[in-house]
Amino acid sequence: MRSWDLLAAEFNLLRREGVVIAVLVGFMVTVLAAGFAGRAAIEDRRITAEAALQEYRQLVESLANQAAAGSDTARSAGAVAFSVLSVPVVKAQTALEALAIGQGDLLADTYFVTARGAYHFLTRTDPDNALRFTVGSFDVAFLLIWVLPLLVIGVLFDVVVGERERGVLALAAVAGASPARFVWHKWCARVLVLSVSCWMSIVLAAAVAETSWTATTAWVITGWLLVATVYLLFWAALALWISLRSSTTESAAMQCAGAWLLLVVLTPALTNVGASSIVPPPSRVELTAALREATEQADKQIASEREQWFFDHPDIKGEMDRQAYYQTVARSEAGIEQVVAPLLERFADTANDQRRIVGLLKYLSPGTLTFQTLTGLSGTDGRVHAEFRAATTEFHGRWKDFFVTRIERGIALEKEDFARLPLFVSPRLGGGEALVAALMPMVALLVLVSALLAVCTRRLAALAVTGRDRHAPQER
Amino acid sequence: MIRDIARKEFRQTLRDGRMRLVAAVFVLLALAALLLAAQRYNALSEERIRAQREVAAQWMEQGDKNPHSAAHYGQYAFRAALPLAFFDPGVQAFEGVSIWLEAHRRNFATGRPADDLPPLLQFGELSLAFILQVLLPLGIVLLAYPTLAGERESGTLRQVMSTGVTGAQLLIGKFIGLGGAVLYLLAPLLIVGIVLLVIASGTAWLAHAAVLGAVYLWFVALMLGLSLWVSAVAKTARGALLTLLVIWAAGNFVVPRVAADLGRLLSPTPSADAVLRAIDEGLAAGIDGETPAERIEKRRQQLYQLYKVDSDAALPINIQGIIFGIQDEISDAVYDRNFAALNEAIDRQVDVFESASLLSPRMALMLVSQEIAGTSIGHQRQFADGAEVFRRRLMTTLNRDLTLNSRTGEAGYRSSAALWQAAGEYRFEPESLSRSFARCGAPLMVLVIWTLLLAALLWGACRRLGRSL
Repeated sequence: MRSWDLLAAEFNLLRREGVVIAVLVGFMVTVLAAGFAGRAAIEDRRITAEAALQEYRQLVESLANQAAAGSDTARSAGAVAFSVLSVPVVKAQTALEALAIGQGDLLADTYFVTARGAYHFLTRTDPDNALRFTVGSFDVAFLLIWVLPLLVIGVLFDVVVGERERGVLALAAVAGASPARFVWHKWCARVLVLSVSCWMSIVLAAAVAETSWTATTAWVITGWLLVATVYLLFWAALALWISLRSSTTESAAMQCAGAWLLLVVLTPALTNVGASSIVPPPSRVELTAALREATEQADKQIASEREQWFFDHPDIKGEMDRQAYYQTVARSEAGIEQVVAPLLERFADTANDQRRIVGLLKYLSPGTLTFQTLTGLSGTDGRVHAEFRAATTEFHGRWKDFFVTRIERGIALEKEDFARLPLFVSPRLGGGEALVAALMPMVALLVLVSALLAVCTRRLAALAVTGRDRHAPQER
Repeated sequence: MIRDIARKEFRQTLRDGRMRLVAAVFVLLALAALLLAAQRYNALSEERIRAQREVAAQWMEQGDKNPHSAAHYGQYAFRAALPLAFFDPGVQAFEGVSIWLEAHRRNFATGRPADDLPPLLQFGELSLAFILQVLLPLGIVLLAYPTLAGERESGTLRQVMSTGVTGAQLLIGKFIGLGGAVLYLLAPLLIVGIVLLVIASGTAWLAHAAVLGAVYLWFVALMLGLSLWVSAVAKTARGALLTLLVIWAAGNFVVPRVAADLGRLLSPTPSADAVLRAIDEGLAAGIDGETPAERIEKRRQQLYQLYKVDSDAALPINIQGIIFGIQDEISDAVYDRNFAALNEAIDRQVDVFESASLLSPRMALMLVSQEIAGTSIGHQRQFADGAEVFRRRLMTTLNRDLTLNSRTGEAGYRSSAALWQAAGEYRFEPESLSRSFARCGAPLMVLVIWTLLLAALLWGACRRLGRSL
């Protein structure tokens, strides 16, 4: 029999298996739904950020006009810096971010920067539904990493053992096809059907989730397709290997389920435990205590001056001496910042170290490896957030300097000053750069797939059409 | 007859080498998770108690200062680590652990532990609750799927039924036998868990643990019933296994995530920025149709009438304390309104999750488990509300001192340790079991519905088994 005949026979068989078609269509629809859900989440964030930026622009324009009209508040660098103006600093959206939420809904993608210490915006926690975080995001990455392997297992776990039980291998041998050739073609046909479904799902999900298509998007989607294919091939090769060495379909199913549990559920969870044990995070509670102590020390130094304004009510005293009041505020903030900044740096360093540890431990599980690679491609693995945080801290320094210099020198703000306010540029993830970062994990997974397929080829060469092949273990 | 079937099933299960291996791995994993969590709980608990003490000491020793400066200094409320959190950490990793209690504003809780955890949280936290909610049902599936379907395939079911055993006797016997085997394997976990709990907190949380134990046993019975039903109606053991694996994967991983995201789509959480903006607008607008300035002026005139004076300086009290009180009155109302709207949005999302638990009993169990362990959204809210009640009491005390003991314009007025002592310090009060249990109504109802449904399905399966001869 020609190869094409064998493949065509398998395609026909799959076409007649209503359950397989239903499950594949169901998977595609679910991935599409996840694409829509991702888009909605990203759109929500974009709209919120846009509204904040719009409001900021209007406020700056209004302050500039008020300064031109001689308003005391608008001309006071201290009042503007500490009481009126906060600038929303927004992380640039990354390509296909909606397909892999990753840490995107946990880490801040907007900071509200003021001339006060960085701890004000870096320690802010936005309230949200914690139950949703606990169960995790329903995104395309989740479906590919958790559900796709189950689909592959469901379609392939009995590719050898099932055919042997049903006597199909013996029949194929009678028809002149070698059992190994028959199994390979059967496996290839099923993998092809699964791959095509997977590619179509990703492309459709990307089409509904992505709002702006650029060259970067093309690079990233190429990366997604490659990573998903290699991950699918891993599970297909593993299912074939298990099917080859099992004596019954039940045993094969149990072993496949066990492998899924170990590689997709347990190992990533243990990797998390491992990373947080190797690099334990500094204590937030201690940070709070340190912040309080620093606040108290800073306030004590200026207490005698601030007391006359009831701490933060310069309006009460009648004739307001804004300059003197905000100079005390600036000194107080500088004092607190000096103590707290190194502590906050420790949190950032720990996060970097943890990412490095996870970067090494991810090779323990194809699930973790693929998750890290997909979130890396979409810029939601924490790396882009770390760059965004660093860029925000740098911007905060410029923003603070702009105002504090004027506060210390007693220089009033003019209309033109509002046009010279520092601007923030969010770091961007290049598509080529993301794809290069994904290469190493993909190569590692490909090596694993090749090894598994090599073992399967050896086993298939010795495949018995009935009973067990000579490599099969004795099962109870 | 039931006893014989149960005994045979029990022994057969425990004799199965593969099952023993799976059980050993499961128990070891669970014990490791339990011990790790207990160690983490001890460290967390000590740290938070120490921090709360430090904050209280800082408050008491802040020295002489104006009461309003002290109000801005404020206090911190730390969420105490509760002992059963080592069993079920619930939503705690995603909620802030401390709240700054300061003048004029109600702050959000900050210091979310998840912000400092490695980037694989999407894969779940390996807690004992996760193991019992997710992995134990998988063990039950692997244990129970061939029980009836396998016997049907091999022809032994027909032989057994021909001895006069009824379908009900067979199912009940297998249920008891398998259930006994599961309990036998869980016993070491139960003992270690209770010992750790008693070491951590004495007997104070034993009632909570007993309720948790009962609910988890109920869940085990449900999972066993579901597995037996599928095994009874499936034509082949393979079909039973595949069906049960699909139900397990969908119920544990797909439905919860879809429900959580659907909740967010149907009732989006307002952004913190939007909430704060609404609060600012509310503060500027005032309450009861009066702007803050109008309200203050009205109260000023009332005070002038009361004391028969015509200026602030002539008042025998410090009007600034009254003004701070009015500002707090307004801000309390505005914060209440906006926090209520925020909580309502989150509640609606939880409602969607609760409704979806009709498709997955694990979700209902998850909600009950978090409530009883003290790690639910409800408990976080109780902590935040308790801290807010204390903040308001603290501010009232400080404003009253300023009002009564100083005169208007007396900027140099100082209060001392006696006032800080009188104002008190924040103490976390854990919620009673009955109050926590009261929030479990909907998820418990879901478990009841599942029980009734499975009872009906198993009853039908018994009748079919009887007829299959």
